[in-house]
Amino acid sequence: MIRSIMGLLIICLLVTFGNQSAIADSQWKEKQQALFEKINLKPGEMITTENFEKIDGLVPFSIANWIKKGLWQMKIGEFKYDISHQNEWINASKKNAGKYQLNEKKVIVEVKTKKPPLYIYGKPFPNLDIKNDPDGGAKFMFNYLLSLFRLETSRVLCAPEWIGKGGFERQLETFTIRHFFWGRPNGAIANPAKFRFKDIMNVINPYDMAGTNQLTLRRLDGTPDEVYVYIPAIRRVKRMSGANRSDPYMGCDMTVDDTWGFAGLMSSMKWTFLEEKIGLFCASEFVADHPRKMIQTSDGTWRTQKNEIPAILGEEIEGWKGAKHAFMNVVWIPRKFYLLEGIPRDPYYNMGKIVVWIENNAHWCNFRTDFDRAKEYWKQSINLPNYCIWGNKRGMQTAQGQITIDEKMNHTTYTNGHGRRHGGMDAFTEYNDPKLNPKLFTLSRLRMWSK
Amino acid sequence: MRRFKVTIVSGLICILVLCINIAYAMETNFNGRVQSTFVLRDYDGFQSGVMDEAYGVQWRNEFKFDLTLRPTFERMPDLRLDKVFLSYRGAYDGIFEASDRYDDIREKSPADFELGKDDLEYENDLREAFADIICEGENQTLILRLGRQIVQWGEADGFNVLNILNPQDNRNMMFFENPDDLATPLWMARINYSISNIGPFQSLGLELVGIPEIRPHQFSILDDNMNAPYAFPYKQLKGKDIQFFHKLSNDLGFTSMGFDLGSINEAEDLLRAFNIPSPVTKWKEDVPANSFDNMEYGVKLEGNLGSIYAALHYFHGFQDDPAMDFGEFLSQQTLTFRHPEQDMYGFSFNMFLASMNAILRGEACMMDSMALVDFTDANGNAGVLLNRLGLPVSIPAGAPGYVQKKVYYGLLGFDKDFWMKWINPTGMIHTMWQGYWRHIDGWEYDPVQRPFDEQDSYRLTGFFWAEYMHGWIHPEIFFMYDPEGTWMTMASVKFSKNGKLFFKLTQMSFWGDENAVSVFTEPINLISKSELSFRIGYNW
Repeated sequence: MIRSIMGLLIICLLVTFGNQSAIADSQWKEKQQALFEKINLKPGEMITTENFEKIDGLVPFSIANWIKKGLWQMKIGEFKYDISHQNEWINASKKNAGKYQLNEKKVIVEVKTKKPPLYIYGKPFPNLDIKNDPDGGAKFMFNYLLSLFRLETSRVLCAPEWIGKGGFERQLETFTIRHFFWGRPNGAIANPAKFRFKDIMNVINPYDMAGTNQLTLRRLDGTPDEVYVYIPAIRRVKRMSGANRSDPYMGCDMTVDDTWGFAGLMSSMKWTFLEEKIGLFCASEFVADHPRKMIQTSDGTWRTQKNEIPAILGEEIEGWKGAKHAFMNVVWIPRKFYLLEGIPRDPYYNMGKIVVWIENNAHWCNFRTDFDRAKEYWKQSINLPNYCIWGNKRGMQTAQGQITIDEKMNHTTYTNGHGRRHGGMDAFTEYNDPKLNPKLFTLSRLRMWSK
Repeated sequence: MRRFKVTIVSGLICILVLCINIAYAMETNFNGRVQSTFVLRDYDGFQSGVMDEAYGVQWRNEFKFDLTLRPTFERMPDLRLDKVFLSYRGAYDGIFEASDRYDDIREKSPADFELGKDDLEYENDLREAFADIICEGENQTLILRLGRQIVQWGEADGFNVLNILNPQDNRNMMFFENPDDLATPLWMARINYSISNIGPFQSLGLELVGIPEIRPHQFSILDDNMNAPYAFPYKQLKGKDIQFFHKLSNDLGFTSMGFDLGSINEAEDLLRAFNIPSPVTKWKEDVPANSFDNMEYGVKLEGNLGSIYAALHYFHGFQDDPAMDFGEFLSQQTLTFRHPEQDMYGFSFNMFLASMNAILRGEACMMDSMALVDFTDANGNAGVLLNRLGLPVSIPAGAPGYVQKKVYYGLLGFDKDFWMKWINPTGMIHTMWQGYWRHIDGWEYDPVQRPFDEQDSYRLTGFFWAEYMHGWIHPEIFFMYDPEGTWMTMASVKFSKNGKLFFKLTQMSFWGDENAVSVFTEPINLISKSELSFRIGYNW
């Protein structure tokens, strides 16, 4: 009798937890294989200047050019696991069908109340007909956004590196903390001031920038971001324009809005769906082979392991004749992408146009091409994902690293989000830290955060 | 004061002991810099020819570091020690070894607020040492910061309108140094309380500050020769032609005797002529004692309403800038720098103008009592002088030579970034503009009695900066224009490829009409002082 009850319990537990973290797409392997066949490439194949035409159209034109010129080489690889979100998220998304719409400012609102929702869980537009819906691009970007908002809170220690013609130049050590009001697995929390998220970017080193903290408050109604910067040299908080998020961060080639591919205000851009196509998804060899299992600390925080292998760039490899910014330990995997074009509505935004390549299952923005205000090609970014498993949840939520190559200035910034590079700090990521409460993201706390 | 320090240190030790039971580790962050500066000063100013009377000096070699200790917690307690912060600055100025030019600078003296030659030669100062204790509630937070610290109020750049909590330190630095380095840290207790989402306000905050340590605006050593670097403005004051002295000489008949007391130097000459002993003018700081009775205190109430931030400020303290007391000038050849009590009532705000993509900010205050030079009632000094010269006259003793007036200040700032592709094709040019106004209540300018201040004075400032070559090159330009016809400029360019080793070239110069009644000419004429500095340093 006892054995039967125990057996039943075990089965119930397996069904409960198994269902939540179950592989969402049991056909993922076959689908991946089919994509290989469509593009006529095989895992392990090397793409160089000799056979660059094989990847024509599969990556942004700038990357194809690097291969053609011998600046980069490409190793074709495969995912050894399904990179979908967990079933529970996908099911929650289905329940959102018909609940939301965009208003005239392209801000997401509830169909019933016409007001911005205080809380959303799951993709807001699960049955999106992106090709025929006139707001298809903008709605897809909200799906993408929500898919990255499932962390409750995050703390990311990362180190932007300046890489020039001669290689590594300098490094900043920073951390970013974020508090999300949407996509929280444990339900809504009080949000009387109607924020979408709050974040603080903090510089730890070197001395002349240490203690600089930038607070962003993003509201639900699509009004411009409130941005405040605490400058330790003057011991004051300076008010900044929301468009400053598109300025070079501390002089590097990246901007704050480059985070996640696009971390700007969704309604500040006019989004147009360009096409759906097969492309080559760039991920580190480690991430292609394994999901990253996070470790839970005693207070419930999930943390990636320390001292993991970081991305390796050409500038570190002796004898490498290609570009200093070339990734050396990544693979390129066939996936389906949606390509979207974003034109800033804000005339003060630093870019004139961006084109993003978003993998349409994991909703990961892998590539972003920036054009200047004259619509001339300017920068190419590649956003390496981390596929993490934390508890019964899984998905691509934060980056292992992100590289931005400014081709006008022939200069690169790589932001390392994992492991240690050039003797800098050990970068890692934390999710769900209960200590990161909304009270941390106030002006008075910003002023007292550092000296 | 000693009681205050002992209380703070004991409290911190208790909190640290308590935290050991809760915290399991300390996150530490240690960074700092070393830097060395060479200054080339043009002693008649760039206006009279750039570097035609130049004088070079290897300035300070400085070492500074910050250490932050943060306990990490398994579970965040509502009451906890959030961090301990220490900031140290050490410096050595080799000029005192290399040259005998400064040999006669005096040693420590109460007259200089215990500042001596060795303090210019060496610095060894734990500038800041404070701890933050946090108490969190449901939607409110209270932070107590105890220790030696710097608090800056207001929205102004380049002006200290509301920012009067920490006095300035100009012992060995002029303007345009890092404001953090120019502030004198003080022992104080600071409490910040904030509450979120209350009524229409996104957040409300209250800051209370208590400062038992009273320090003045610190100048370089103002001894007999005023040879110390950066004492030069006051050396110039001794030779300054002051109309009131001329009038006094005339009224007393000295002019007919061949003595025209146009300046402090000439008054000293007169005394020498009459064989009066020790005719050299002494300069003396008279600073209220550090004590709880004399404690300075302030309160700031701030709130966010939509995209508008506003704050009300009140501060009771002692005037940091000196009130020049001439009361003992002719009798004792002593000029006393006094620091009378004052109350400041202020307001500041900032808001984002979405249609212009710009920030509008401002601050205003009323200072109930600001000491200003006014010789109206100083004639009595003449009687003392005549008595010293052996002439039997009876003129009642005079007032100190300054009066205290109600003064209003206002400042409006406008920050906007512009695309100027011909200057910087890859990034915007950041600009900050400010208009400043000061009004002295019940005041009338008089070239003889009240020669240094107009009733209303105005200034306009512009600050521009950009980043080139991925942040390797960081140029800045600042100007401050006074409609009386004078202005100052600062231009600097900092170069750093690796973010650690850096080089910085800075010029600071003053221009315009030397006879104008302006902040750059009265009471000290800065137009004749310009300098170029070169700095090399290393950050880690």
